[in-house]
Amino acid sequence: MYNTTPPKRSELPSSAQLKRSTIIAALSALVILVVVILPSEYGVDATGMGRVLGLTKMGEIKTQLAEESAADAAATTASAPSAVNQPVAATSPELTSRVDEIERKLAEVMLKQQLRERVSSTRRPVESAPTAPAPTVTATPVILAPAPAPAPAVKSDQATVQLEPGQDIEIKLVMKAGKTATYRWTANGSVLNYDTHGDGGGRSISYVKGRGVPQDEGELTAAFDGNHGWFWRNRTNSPVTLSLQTRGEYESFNRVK
Amino acid sequence: MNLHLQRAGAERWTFTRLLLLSCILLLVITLPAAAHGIATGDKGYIQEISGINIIPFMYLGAKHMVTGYDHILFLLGIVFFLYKTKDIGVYVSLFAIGHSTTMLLGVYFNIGINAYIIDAIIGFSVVYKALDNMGAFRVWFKYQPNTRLTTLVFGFFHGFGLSTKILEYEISPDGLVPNLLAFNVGVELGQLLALSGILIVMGYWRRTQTFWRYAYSLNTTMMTAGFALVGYQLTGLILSF
Repeated sequence: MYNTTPPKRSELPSSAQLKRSTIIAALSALVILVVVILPSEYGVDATGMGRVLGLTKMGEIKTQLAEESAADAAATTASAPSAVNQPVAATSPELTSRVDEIERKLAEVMLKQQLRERVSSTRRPVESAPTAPAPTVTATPVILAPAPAPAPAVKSDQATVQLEPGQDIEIKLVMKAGKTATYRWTANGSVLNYDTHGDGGGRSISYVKGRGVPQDEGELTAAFDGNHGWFWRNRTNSPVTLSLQTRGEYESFNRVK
Repeated sequence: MNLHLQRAGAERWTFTRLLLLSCILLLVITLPAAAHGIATGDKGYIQEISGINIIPFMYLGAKHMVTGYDHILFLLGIVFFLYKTKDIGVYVSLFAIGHSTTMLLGVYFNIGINAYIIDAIIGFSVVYKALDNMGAFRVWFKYQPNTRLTTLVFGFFHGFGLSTKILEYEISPDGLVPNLLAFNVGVELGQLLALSGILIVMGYWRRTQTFWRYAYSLNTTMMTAGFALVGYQLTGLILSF
């Protein structure tokens, strides 16, 4: 009938033995849950052992990634057309002119904001090492009226940013398909995780990724019209100074976040 | 084991099968979905770190085994009719030697096997072991394949399944070998934990008369689960083209 011979009674565990095993199993599970699983999955470390074992950091990274992923998804949904953008059925001329005025003011504010972000390539004053170049950014003249986009001449930019442990930054170049920019970045003696990628017109691409890299240089050729550049994150336990230099045929140099 | 006992089991299996099938469906439905561009969970964590991380990789290995229902089902099939500690030790070691070998070789030499195909084979291993327990090969073919050898061979396939999943994690080359070994130790620890749980439940159950009444049905249920896994993976394979 079966591929086995029936066991003798002596080969089976006794009732007392089974009870003991169950209690041991339940207690072990509780210890594993508190010391290992909760730190590794949620960064919840009641005993402090998780930190010692390096598991709490895993939980913290997972939580952070989950939050970023959720924010990413939310941003994708938010950019979808909503009812707000639908034309209003009964529009009075007065209303239209007021809306126009608001939109004009908004455009001005946004341009100023972009300009400010571009000029201050640092979130806070950097206590930069003497070797680090000062952040200087060439800003394009602001054109409020729509004008034909000038053909991109060769531009060059540089930025220096201090990243705290766990902090990330994204710098992108606005590029046309097929245009090339040379770049060089360094973590000034430390290491960074990076992802060289691009997005635009609903497309996204990852050119190259790296972990624990001290520096990188090369040429970036845009696969399509859009924003192409770098995402860096400091996964070390001390602050890292990032210096970036770019040169090439791009339209603008922007700090995304 | 006489005929009317068999039939009693046969009438009861439908409920158990439904229960198990719904569990599998739940697992399939709740497979993780990530937003574009950001890897999350274990994969995301692994892609953020570099260098030697022994304890975290041990944890990930153990987690992989304990939550890997295909490995657990096969393990259940192996120990289903083993009562002696010595026998359990021999078979589980054979399985461990099998999956450790191919897991380490597969990752080290970057042998990428289509995940759907390898997981379908693992599903088939569950079907095979259930049939083996039911004595089907002796009845059908008048031949009993060597159970130790088949455990080792299916262990090899399970190892390729593990290595295929690890390759998807894109582990940093920096500290790869120590991390892999740690992951492997974790896999064995996870296997021991899962085995302890299985053996405790089986221990209670084997002491009752119902064990012999339901043993057949449970193996049939296990076979159902195995077939479902094969179908699930092959469907994935077809849809991936």
